[in-house]
Amino acid sequence: MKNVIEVKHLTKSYKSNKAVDDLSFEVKEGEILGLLGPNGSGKTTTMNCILALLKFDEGKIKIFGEEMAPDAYETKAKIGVVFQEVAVFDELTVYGNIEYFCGLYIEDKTTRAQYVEDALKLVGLEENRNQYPKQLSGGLLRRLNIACGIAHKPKLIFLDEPTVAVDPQSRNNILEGIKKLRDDGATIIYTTHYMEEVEILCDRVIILDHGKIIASGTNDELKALAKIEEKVTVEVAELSPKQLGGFEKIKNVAEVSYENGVLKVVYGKGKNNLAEMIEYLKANRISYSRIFAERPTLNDVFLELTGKELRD
Amino acid sequence: MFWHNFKFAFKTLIKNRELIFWTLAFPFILALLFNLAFARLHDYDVFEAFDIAIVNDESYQNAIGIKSAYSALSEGDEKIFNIKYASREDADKMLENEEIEGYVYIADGQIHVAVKTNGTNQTVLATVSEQISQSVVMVEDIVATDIQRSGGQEINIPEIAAKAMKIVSEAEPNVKDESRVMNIVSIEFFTLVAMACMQGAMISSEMMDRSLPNITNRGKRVSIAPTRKSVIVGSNLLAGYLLLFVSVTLLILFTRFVLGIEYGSNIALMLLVAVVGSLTSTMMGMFLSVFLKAKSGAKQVIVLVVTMVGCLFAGMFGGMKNYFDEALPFVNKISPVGLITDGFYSLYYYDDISRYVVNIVSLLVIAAIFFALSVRSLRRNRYDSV
Amino acid sequence: MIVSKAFWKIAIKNIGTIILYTIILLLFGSINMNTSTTTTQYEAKKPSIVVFNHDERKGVTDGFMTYLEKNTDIKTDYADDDRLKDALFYEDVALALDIPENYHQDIALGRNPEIRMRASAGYSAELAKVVVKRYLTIAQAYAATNLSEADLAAMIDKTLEKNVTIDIKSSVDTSKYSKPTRYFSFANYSILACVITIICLIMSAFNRVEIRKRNLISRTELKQMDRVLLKNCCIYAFGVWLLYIILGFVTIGSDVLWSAYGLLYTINSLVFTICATTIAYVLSKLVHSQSAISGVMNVVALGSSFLCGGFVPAEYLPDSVLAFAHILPSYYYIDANNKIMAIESFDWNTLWPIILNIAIVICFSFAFVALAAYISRKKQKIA
Repeated sequence: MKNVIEVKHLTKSYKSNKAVDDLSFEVKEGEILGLLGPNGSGKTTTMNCILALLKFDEGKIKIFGEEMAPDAYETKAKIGVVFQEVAVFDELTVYGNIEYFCGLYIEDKTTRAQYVEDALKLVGLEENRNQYPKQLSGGLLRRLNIACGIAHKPKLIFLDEPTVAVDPQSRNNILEGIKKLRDDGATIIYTTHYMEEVEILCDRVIILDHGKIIASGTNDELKALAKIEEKVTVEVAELSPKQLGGFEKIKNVAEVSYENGVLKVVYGKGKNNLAEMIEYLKANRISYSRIFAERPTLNDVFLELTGKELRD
Repeated sequence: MFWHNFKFAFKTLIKNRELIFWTLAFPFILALLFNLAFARLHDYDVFEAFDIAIVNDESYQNAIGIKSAYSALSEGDEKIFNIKYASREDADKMLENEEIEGYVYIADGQIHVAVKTNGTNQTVLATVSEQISQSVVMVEDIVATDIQRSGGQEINIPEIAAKAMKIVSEAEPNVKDESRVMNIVSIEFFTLVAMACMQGAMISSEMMDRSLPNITNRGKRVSIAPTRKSVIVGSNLLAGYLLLFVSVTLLILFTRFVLGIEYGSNIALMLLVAVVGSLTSTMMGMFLSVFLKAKSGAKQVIVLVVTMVGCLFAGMFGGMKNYFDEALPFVNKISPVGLITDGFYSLYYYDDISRYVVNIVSLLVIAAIFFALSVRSLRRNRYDSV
Repeated sequence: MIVSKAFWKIAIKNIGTIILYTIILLLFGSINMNTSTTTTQYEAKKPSIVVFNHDERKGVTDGFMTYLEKNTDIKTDYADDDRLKDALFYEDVALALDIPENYHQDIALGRNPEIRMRASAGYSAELAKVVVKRYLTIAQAYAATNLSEADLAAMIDKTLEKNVTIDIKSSVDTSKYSKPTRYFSFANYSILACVITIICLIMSAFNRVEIRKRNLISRTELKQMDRVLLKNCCIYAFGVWLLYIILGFVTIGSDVLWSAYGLLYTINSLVFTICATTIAYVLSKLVHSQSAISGVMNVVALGSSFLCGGFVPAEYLPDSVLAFAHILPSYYYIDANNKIMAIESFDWNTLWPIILNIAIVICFSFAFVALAAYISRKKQKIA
């Protein structure tokens, strides 16, 4: 598959602070690439460098095989960006806003009108077309922000934290919309610090911290890095130190912790760990109220690689 | 693309209630207030006769010359006084109750004027009384001279007196009055138009802000579009400029034709001030936006200071222009408000347009400087931070 | 407590506004105070004139010049014609005069030579014209009697010495109080500006918080908050008033203000500040956005100052404007200031109109409080 974006040795510093540090990666056609990292890890800076908004110290950036520059208008025409902050005109209606931004790309008026309708439908704002941004809730405003960025049907779409502070309903709508864009043939770069979104949405993930790539790959590849097979959580009212010590001796168990009546047992490998745990509890006559098992998350990966949580 | 952006820029501008209020509505409101407040301040033509009293006693009845002079001044269309004849006590009472502006009485052959305060009418009463009293002296002098000249020959005193009175009353100096009737209040409106013009810098500043990615998010959005920056900036500024020009022109026409402010006769040159002034203002807003990445609050303060200090120096609030011109002569030579005001002033007051041309050229030079500096900075395409 | 703290935090954040309007008061107030002596108090101030004498200083010309030197303020340094034109326009020079060559001879020969005159507009120019014409008229009259040059000049001088006696019946020099009157009348603008801006900003900030907290706190607590807010608004307004009184003492001088007159000005301005607070309170119920606040404030403060004589003395306003101004509290405040200036003796007759004006301003305050209560009740129903 073709590379849509190629970033090589990108370095950008603000004064003494390196925001992006020797970053190299590619984005393949038709994929959703997740850029995951905590706040301040360099996701937005990287994006702005790719878009030729920011000066950078070193590196090369190619989009669709062409060197990206502020005046690479043909390349720019194929790109759509949804910025983190809502950037719309309060004086224009929902329709007017989409029409304006779309009009910067599409000159033909009939095509433009059709595209605006498509965008409205995609984000589910058909009912709100005549409303002004001030009349929209936070979630709907975000959807408008997205519609403004993608109405011209770009081949390459950047989405910078489009779901920050959005209600669950709008979030689902947004994520569904993004999948649909990919299905329609767009390549998508998705920046977020919500690992759950990355897990359900992205084909491939790059984890950033302090401007560097600390891991990349598919969800499963990354989770393998966590060196965790499964986490079993048991709610136990009482547990003696001796009983606690017993858990550590169970096969495949890597780590045990007990706090506020919640016992967490981490298995490094093995199958049927939950069933075995239930057996163990029964055998040792330990009474419990709830028990469940989880697969490792990207947060665990991040924790494993950096020693800190993804979200502070 | 230029016209697409222009159309939306104009649309968003006229829907921006805050900008419209400050740049369009506010100067109109001020113009109305100015008009009400200054309406009578320089209305000298309307002189109204005022009430005085004359103590009608024996001495007054005997002073024939004085008597006829006062009564002449209280008759006809151009009368100065409405005279009430009264006793001294009544006159005092009337003065106390402010029924009259002052009263006149004769004592020891002298005219005495009694007033309560110093005011315009009191000064008029005193001056006129002085003239009457001097006329009496003159008549006496002329009569005395004639008697002396006659050298003891028989003379007809009433005839000489009548002749003397005729000389005195008909004496009129040959004064060629070349005063031009100008209304200084016009300056208030010239500065007001200049203020409206320069406040318009807020419009172009807003139009620049939305074009630049390092200032607004909307700026980021247009910067990633496949449209030249010059097209975006140009069409945005053109929309802002047109709005400003139209509103300044409306203000000029409103003050000229509705409020009747005197501007001089050349309407085309008058509107040229609006064309050039709006341009300078637009360029200043552009410059401020480009060079002050700061929050719009700082820009607002600068625009306000440039405008209001400019207005003060240019003669708003009571015509202190000449005073400032003596103290700090360069300010009005570089302050756009001063130049715009002086542009209108020179059209109004000077027959020769060379001074007007100097003002217009200065405004253009200032606009060009702002433009050049801004463009130099705008040529950058990538930013250190966004 | 926490409400008060937040209140003052917002007030301090907007201290720039307070400083701005205070500077405007000091700057324009003092300009106003100083120019007022020439524009409102027509005292016998000598008009400024410029004389271009093309004649020798002999005979009548000499007499004329001496007369002008005595009765006018002769300016030099106006050789540049444009400079003179500007000065005439801006009324810095009342009159420019050209005395022709051989004037002293021609006038003595009864030829009535032409004197060229360019006057500016305004009172001073009219006065200058009277002064100049008086001499020329007398000269003209005597010239008709064929006197020698020397006799002519002497005769004119003698005549000019003849003056009228002016008795000024007023015991008090009321012009002494024109300065504080102008200051306090101008303060109409600054007080309204400072009080309305800050109180509206603070109230709108709290209204936003209130909406958010409406579900969290009980009605009584809200009422409590309202009361604390109102109390702090009053303290703030009192502070503004105190500042302007102190500045008044500094700029006008305590010798003028430390008197019964000063006390009246002080009481009058305090009552007006209270009224301004109630106006601000009403407006805070109606406007909420920051930009709208400064717009409304400017319209209210500038409008009432212009219409009621805060900037331009009321006697120069058209009657229709003044008639309209009667519906504004500022009118009664400014009118009271003018009446205080005119007081000659403190008795019931002179004080009563002032007390009446102050009472009307108090009535306005109550009306505004009632209006505010009405608006909030109506808004609650909708909400």
